[in-house]
Amino acid sequence: MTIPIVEHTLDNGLRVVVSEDHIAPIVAVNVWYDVGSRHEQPGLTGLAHLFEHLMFEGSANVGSIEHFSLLQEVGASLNGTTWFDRTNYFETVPVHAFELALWLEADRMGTLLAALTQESLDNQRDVVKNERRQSYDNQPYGTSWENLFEMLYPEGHPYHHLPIGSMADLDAASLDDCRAFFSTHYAPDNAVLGIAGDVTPDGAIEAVERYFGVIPPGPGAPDAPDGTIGPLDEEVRRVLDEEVPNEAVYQQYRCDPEGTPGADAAQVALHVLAGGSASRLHQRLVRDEELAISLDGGHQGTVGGTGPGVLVVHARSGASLDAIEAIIDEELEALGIDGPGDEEVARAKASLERSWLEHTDAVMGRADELCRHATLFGDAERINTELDRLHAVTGEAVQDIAARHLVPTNRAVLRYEVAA
Amino acid sequence: MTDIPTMRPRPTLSGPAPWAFPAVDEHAVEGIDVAACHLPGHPLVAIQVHADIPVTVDPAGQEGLTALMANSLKEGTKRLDARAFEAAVELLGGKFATSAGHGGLHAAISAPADRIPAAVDLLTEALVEPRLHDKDILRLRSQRLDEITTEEADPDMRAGLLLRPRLWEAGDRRSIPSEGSRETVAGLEPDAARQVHAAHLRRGGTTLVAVGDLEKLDVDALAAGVARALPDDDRSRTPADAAKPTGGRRAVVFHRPGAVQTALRIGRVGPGRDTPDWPALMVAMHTLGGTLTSRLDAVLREEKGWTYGVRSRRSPVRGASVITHLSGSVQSEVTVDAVETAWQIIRELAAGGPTEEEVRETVAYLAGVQPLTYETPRAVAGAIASCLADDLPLGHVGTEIAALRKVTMSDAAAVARDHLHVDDAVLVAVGDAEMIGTALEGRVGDVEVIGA
Repeated sequence: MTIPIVEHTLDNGLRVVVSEDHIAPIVAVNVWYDVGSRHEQPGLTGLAHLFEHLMFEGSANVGSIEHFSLLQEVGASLNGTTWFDRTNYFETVPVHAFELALWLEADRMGTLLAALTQESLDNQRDVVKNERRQSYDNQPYGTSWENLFEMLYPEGHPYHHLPIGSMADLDAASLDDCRAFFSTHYAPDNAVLGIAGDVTPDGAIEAVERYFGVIPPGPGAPDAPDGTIGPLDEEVRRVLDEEVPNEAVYQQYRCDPEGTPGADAAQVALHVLAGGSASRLHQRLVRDEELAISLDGGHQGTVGGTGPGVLVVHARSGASLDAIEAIIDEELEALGIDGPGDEEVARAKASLERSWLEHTDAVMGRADELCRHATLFGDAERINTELDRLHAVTGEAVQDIAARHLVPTNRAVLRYEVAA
Repeated sequence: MTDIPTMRPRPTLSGPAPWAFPAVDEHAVEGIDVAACHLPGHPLVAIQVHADIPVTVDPAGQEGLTALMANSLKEGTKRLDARAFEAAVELLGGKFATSAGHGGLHAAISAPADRIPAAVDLLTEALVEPRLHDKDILRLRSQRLDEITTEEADPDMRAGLLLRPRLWEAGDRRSIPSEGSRETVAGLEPDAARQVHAAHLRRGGTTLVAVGDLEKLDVDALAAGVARALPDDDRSRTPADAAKPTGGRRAVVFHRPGAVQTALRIGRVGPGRDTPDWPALMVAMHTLGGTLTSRLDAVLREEKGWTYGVRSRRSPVRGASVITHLSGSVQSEVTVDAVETAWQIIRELAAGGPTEEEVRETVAYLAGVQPLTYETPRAVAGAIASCLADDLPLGHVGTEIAALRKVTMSDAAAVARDHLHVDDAVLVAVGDAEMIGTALEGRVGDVEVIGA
């Protein structure tokens, strides 16, 4: 199934990608800014995400939280998210409100600084700190990813810290920092606008020209620092004695970045090991040995020179983490020596293909993928070869990645131990 | 500062395009009910089989038995062991899931349309000829106990666990989670799980739901296959249990020393989704805590910055509902202020109802969002399943939207007065009791403190 795509670039550099689909009278609008936590300067961690919040606090012609209220009144669903590699803002709207969505996105892209105040910064800083408390600090295992990225990548590496940032840096962020951040990164030539749904490409592009055409290009945003980094040569290990319900082990391996055959092979390898209840580790750790409650594996999807491969196992009460880790190591080694079976590879591909179909069935999933390929790989058309890349993964490639990257010396291991 | 460009004026909108909830074709095939909904152009088809095994069949003291049995259906069939079964599902590009609730036992599979006949065969095999070995059932029982430990450690889930038994009388099955509590799960036995499967799985009261691009599928043939595999027993559907809500306003604080936030719930028992009050209740509750622009978030989040956000929810439970006025976490230091502020906002809404503007905006939102909500087969199948669970006609979503559009300010005010009052509301706070426990005394009714 080919997803139809029409691309257009405005004079100010805004790239527009439209996918026409008349199944339902709705349209998804998604704006990806090429800025994430990997672009942040030392001492200003969390700024990209804090800024995402400020984008909902009004612009020259839109009042505080009016962005939400205007869209809600037409029955839209909307949000924004910040990740290592990008920040995105999106809304799915009934098609009659398509131009309202464009107008709102254009207004904040062009005029946010007209409405940015110390008061809105202070309020959203408090909200973000409460988001941090809720999702990280007050949550069992909540700081796992923060620890793992800190352990896997050295100080100064673009993936050393998470988008949520630190409390100290959030406190330190000034209005001038936010203004400078906007002026540097929030410009049409540093963004991709993805549109999927009940519109025609010509009509959509004409409307985009009308609303976004007046915004001047930015000064040229700096690239994120190069994150290219080789494998670790020694395992990094940390034990946390936080209060958690069950012991757990989290592992991250330095793998190839998303968009490379190595990352595709790692994704399949981790599915064979820990994807679903037919996986090798599920069979051994959950069913046979009864050591684990649940497990998971996958690739983090970062593109900047490296991408972590992940394995997570939550232990049954009383189970030994040493025994769990020994079994993980046996299975990693076996996959590196003997490779996967043909059926295992076929199963992993079928399952990953299914996830893709599910994701892109909704217009928002499609708009998001258009933006992802255009922003992170410079090629929206790449959306239509995504499954080809998956199916090109061979058993040999999986074995090779397991032998080279999924090895104990190339990982960070975080253990949660419950005091006896 | 950079020059601010002059933007175009805000566009004027035409009215929304007409949209209706997809038509559901309901009929019977060989003793089971079939609900088919054709949604062309989607890659995956969703199939669900609803068997009349509600969790109310759990014997007293063995709550969680039906859910344990439902969970065990994923552990292989008489023909295929668990791993082979799951591999077969995955090779079809499928996903298989089971659950148990007050509406019954639910087995679902979704897959690309051309693989649906094979996928439905696997679903039928799991449902009718499950392995149900002692070892697997006992393992899932232990895992469930570990999961409960996990839920208890999550402040928000802990708040939910504390709310439930304070809303319903002990004899009401709703007072215990569908999956059971620590006390009841510990005693569940494999024999009893197999017995509940054998005693209740049958044609009568079973419904097959198919949603997606059905053009090349013979849904009736699929349904006939399921029906013939089921025991030929036409006992009709088990009626809902009468709801037994508790009374009186009270508060419980669960002590988590040093917690940086307090997880809060305020709730009471409400009417069922089958009552005429429901559409107006949707409006009143959305006004209270539907989104960021709601009355609660406008103050607690956007004005005060005390929270990442709180929500109001209404959750139907067959014949009744749980009205959660507020669910969310607030910074520890401001807990008492946040509770008092929220309490005040709720009281005001209960006393005066939403404004005309709020009713208009909320109705526009709730009706306008429908074509987005029901975009995919999975979502439509979920909506049909929720109607089944609440004994509603399967096309009820359409009826509900029509009724919603007619909700007036006085309807919303009456419902707010009748159902959103806090006279018998329960407040749960999971946080540092030393910071909040005594301060709440006398302000929200009796305060029970646990674990301090």
